[in-house]
Amino acid sequence: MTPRPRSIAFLVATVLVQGMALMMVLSTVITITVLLLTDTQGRERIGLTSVEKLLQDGASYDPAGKFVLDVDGVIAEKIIQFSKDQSEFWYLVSDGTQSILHGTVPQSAQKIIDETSPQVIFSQFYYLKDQDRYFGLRTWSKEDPRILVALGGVSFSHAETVFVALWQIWPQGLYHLLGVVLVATATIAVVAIKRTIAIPVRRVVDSAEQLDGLPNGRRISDHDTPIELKPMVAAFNTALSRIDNAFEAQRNFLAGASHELRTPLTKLRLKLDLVQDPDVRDVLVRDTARLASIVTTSLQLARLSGQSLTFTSLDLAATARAIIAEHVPSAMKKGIDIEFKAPEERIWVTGSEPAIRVALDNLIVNAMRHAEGTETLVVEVLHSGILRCTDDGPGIPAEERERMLKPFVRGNSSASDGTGMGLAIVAQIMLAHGGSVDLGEATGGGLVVNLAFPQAAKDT
Amino acid sequence: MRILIVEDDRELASSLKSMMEDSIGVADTFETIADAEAALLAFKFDLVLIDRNLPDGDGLSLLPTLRQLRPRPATLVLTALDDPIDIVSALDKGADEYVGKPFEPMELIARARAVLRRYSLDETGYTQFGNLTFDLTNRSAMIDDNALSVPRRELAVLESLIRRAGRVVQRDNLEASVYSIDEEIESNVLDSHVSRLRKRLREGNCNATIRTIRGIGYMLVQE
Repeated sequence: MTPRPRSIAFLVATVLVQGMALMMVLSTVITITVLLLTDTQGRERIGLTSVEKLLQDGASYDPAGKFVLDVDGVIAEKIIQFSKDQSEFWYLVSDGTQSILHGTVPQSAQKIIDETSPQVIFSQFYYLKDQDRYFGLRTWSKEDPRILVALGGVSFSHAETVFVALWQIWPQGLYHLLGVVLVATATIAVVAIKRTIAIPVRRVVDSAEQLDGLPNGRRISDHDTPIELKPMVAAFNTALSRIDNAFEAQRNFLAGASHELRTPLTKLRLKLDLVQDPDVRDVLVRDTARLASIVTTSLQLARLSGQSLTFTSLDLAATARAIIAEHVPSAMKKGIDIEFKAPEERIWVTGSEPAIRVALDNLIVNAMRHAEGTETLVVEVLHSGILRCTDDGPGIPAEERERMLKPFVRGNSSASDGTGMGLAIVAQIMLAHGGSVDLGEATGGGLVVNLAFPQAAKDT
Repeated sequence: MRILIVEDDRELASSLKSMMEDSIGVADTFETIADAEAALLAFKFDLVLIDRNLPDGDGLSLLPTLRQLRPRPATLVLTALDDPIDIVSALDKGADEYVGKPFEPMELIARARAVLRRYSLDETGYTQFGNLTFDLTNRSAMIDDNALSVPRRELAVLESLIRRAGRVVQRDNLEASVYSIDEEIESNVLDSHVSRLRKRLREGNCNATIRTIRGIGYMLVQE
């Protein structure tokens, strides 16, 4: 099973959301820690103002017109409960005529409540009771000026303070805002990352796709490439240069080897014409031809294994016809007729024209050399992208056919000037094309070679 | 005919020289591009044989100079490099023919003659194949000394065939040389031109004949 392709945009968006969630938690923890680290007075005040607000909001009239405290919400009840759990806690909510009272209002506090001018809408104070210092609060309701709220005698534990603080922060909409920001950021991230990462990457990919594979061919352009991708593009181009250099070195070596081997062969061949005895001369000429053929095919094999082929869509019929036409004069000298058959329309296959040329050259030369007694060589191009070469020579026994596709193997029945590499080269070229070679027997006993090419799309 | 041979291997150069002198014409040999270039500018040559690996560079660097000469000599590149890339680059740069080493002596001479025939047709409007003479300027053909009466279209077929005598001319190319693009060509009209032309050549005792290469085209050969 192949791993699912991962999108960078998705990954980054996920990390971003996770990061922001973590930030939210962290900021909350920090806020609360700060609250907890502030002095007791501050703590108490925060707790107390929360309770005061709850009392103020909770004061209402029941259907009977009785002034009652009706605290709504689980957290609010919990906070009131925290307070009520403390023995010194007291509160007083009054609308001027009716009051709700909890606990005992200490005298000192009662005095402040009674004596403070109604003009003072908010006051806070400390009072002593049994040597302990408590914090008290007295305030007129903002919404309903008749309502007076006073409370005191409470101190929260750390955990309770956190709870109260959270409850205070929650309604501010901070967390809602953070949520919205989170979703918005994730959305923007997905879109933005696609634009900032995916598009430049796509551009590099497009540029890479245009590489033609030819030596010293195109490089990926780093024009418009973001700085992050430049090292990748540079590395890719360096690799291409190295491949080119290696290719060039191999080409130079082959060219050198080719020259060094062929020039003496040429001289040898020309000198052979000076040999007087025609029998001796013919044998030597044939041996030289065989040697020359070995050189040629070895170099072809080396060249093929050292370079990647550039494939294009080509008309197999036209390509084959042109190549075969070139072999007709030499075939004619040997008394062999070459016949070509192809459908009227074009037969599109994917292939490398120079490689197909080498394959066909070898196929035809092989047929002319090894098929003793051949009179007619028929080359056919079929609709299915198969190139078929049929001779009327002695053929190759079934058990030898597979072996013939390996280098330096010659059929037992072969004539003497071949190298036995022709079909191996054909096989290698077909392999490089993603095609296949198949040797068979013709109706008259000759050899049939089928080269199956991968078919190209019809509309190209 | 005067031939220039650029080949740095002395033995090979001398073999080539004697081969050419036995079959085509007087030959001069040079070992470097510089010497060959000087000779080309000073004397008139009809055919130039160029090797590629020369002491002072690639023989192909002579091609631009050759192209500027008037009349331009026919050019045959003779080389050990048979990579398709090398062949294409040589032909692109203006070589008329490319012969790979090692070659059969007869093959080289045949190729050289073919190149000269094309060259002569282009430069003088006149060429010969066997006992058949083709005159492009007067648009006429002769077998030995007898004028051969050939209609216009058949003459066009003959011209294409004689330009590539000894090689196959593909049907498509022949049709293109005889008919303009917008003319309707019936499938067998070319065959009938060829068979009439073949009959004319036979009746005129021509030693050149037109062979049909099935599925490919036609070829003018000497019998």
